[in-house]
Amino acid sequence: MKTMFLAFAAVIVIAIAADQILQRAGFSAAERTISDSVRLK
Amino acid sequence: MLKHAVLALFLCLGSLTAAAAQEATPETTAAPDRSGTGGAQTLEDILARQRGEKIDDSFRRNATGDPDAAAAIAAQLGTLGGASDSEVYRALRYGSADVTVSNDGPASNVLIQDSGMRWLEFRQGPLATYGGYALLGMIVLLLLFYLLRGKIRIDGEKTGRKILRFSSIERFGHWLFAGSFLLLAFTGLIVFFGRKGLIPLLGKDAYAQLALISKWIHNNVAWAFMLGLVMITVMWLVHNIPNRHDLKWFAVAGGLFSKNVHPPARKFNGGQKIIFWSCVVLGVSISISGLSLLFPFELPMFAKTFVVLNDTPIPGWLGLGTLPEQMPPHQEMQLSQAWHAIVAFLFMAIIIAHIYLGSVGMEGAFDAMGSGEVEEQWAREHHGLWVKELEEKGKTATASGGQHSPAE
Repeated sequence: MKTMFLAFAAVIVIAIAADQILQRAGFSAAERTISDSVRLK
Repeated sequence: MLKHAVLALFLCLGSLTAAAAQEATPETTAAPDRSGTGGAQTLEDILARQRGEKIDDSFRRNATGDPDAAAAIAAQLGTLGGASDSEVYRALRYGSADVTVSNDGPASNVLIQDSGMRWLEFRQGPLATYGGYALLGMIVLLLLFYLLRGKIRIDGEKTGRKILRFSSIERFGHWLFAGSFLLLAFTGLIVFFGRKGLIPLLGKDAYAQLALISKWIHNNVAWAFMLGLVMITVMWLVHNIPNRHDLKWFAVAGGLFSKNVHPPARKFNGGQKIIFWSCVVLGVSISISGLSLLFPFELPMFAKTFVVLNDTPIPGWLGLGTLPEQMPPHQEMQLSQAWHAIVAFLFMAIIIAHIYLGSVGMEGAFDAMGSGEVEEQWAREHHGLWVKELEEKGKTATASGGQHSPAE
């Protein structure tokens, strides 16, 4: 069962890391569908 | 059940792509006389569209004005240009207008996109209905199976000895895949059925928070799912290559419906191979469509897929005609979303059965992924050839809690 909980913890760690990387990559739907001249931010 | 699920998958795809094909390649029927309306659509055109018939809409699609026919700029009405408001909106609707917008994002120059209505109707209609039926149907089937068959017990006498069935890394890969799958399934269902099922219960404000959290989980946990998919595929592919023993397993339905019937099987039996290959095929498909959704407009895949499919007789067999080989960016996203959901419903229905058999449905099965060690008698009954292989390698079972040789 220890392995199962370790894997679940890994899911959380990977998700947080993915969120940080994706945010920095600028690929959110908001980032992809606005530009400086449209005041949606 | 699986056969019907696959059939439903093709039917759903068929209805969706047929709708898409309808827009891109309308069939030409006898051109009606439109002189009474000056070339505009007639009552018969409207009625035919309402009857769901395919109509040649080129008389509207191409009626977008002619800038060259405009009066000279200094002449009377010259500043109005060569296209009327109706013609401008028609060009916008059919995607032929020359649009310039301040937003430079992808697909930002698509101002009207009416294939979205077909996607919405498909999503709220057949997809939600048959998807829901697939999940509920599987649960009902398993309940019936449980009532008729009961828990599948270990038939022989337990030995008290344990065999290591899955190593730590195998269990880690399984639970990485399984844990992320469950999160993706629940959050996907929350987003999919939220408007109909949860807003009436929670209210819009509470649901908005739940949907926001679900979206965050769905988008980011997807990476753990893909890593888990790679891990189980690499670790177990070789064990899941079909062999002749699987035929014997399927001939007696794995002994699931009768006591004391134990067909021969190596590390994975025929049923487990079905689950494995379902995970690989559906997992890859749902990952690709998920990536297409995660990176909006960056990974269009349907037009390219349809080009390949059109070179095969498959669309003809399914009665789909020629699939559209060019489509606007939003339609690509809509098809990706629809396909993602179709695969997800099929995937969830299969995994519900897997969870049942791997937990409450079969005595001793959970140990394989829990502690990794299974009762020797359970292993002999469900994986007799695998136990023999271990014994030939000198890797015998040990008393519970004792030292043991690794199974792999």
